[in-house]
Amino acid sequence: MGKSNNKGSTIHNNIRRLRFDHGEMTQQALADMVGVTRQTIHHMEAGKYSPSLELAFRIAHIFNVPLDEVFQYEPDDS
Amino acid sequence: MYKGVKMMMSFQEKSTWVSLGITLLIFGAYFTFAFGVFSDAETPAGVLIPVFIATVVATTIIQAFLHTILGIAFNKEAEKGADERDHLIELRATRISYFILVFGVFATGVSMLLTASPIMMANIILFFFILAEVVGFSIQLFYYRRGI
Repeated sequence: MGKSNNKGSTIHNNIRRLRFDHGEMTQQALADMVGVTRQTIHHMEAGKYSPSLELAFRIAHIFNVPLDEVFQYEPDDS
Repeated sequence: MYKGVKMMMSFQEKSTWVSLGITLLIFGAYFTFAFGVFSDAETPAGVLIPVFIATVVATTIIQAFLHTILGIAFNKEAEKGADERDHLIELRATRISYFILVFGVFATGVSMLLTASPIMMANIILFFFILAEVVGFSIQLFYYRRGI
């Protein structure tokens, strides 16, 4: 599970697992579908980049799942 | 289990490396020469004008040539252009390099008060402009490697 840390919060994502569950979709294939570079998908999975809301919705739409199944928000004070 | 994918540079990152290399190489040589001219009281500062024009022309031609080669070599990536992560990285780098440029404008103003020659003032502001560019490229490369 990818995890990115920002001030006071952590965002987890399941992109890697969802790709795996969707016929082992490659990073490049997902990148082409959502209109970003493969490196951006790689950085998201590694928790090094938090996507824009629009990109997050596009990824969820590709996997046909709700947004919170792809990304989970966790405040640090919880 | 998922096998880790080998990380490669995006087209934008490669392009930034090229820009940084060219800027450092050509303007590094120019400022080394300019420093020699200003240090030597006998050499008129006016000799810098044709050297400066040649430097700008050379930079433009070499940048265009190398970026064209890069675009041909990685045409699929080049066609896609920059994505939101590239734009964010560029914005963060620009925010920092802007302050260097502002400082350069103030430094040029101070040099005017110290009765620097117009050629000296032009070189001071050019130096800070190039410094801002180099710092901007370096920050972009830092964010490309570390993540943003």
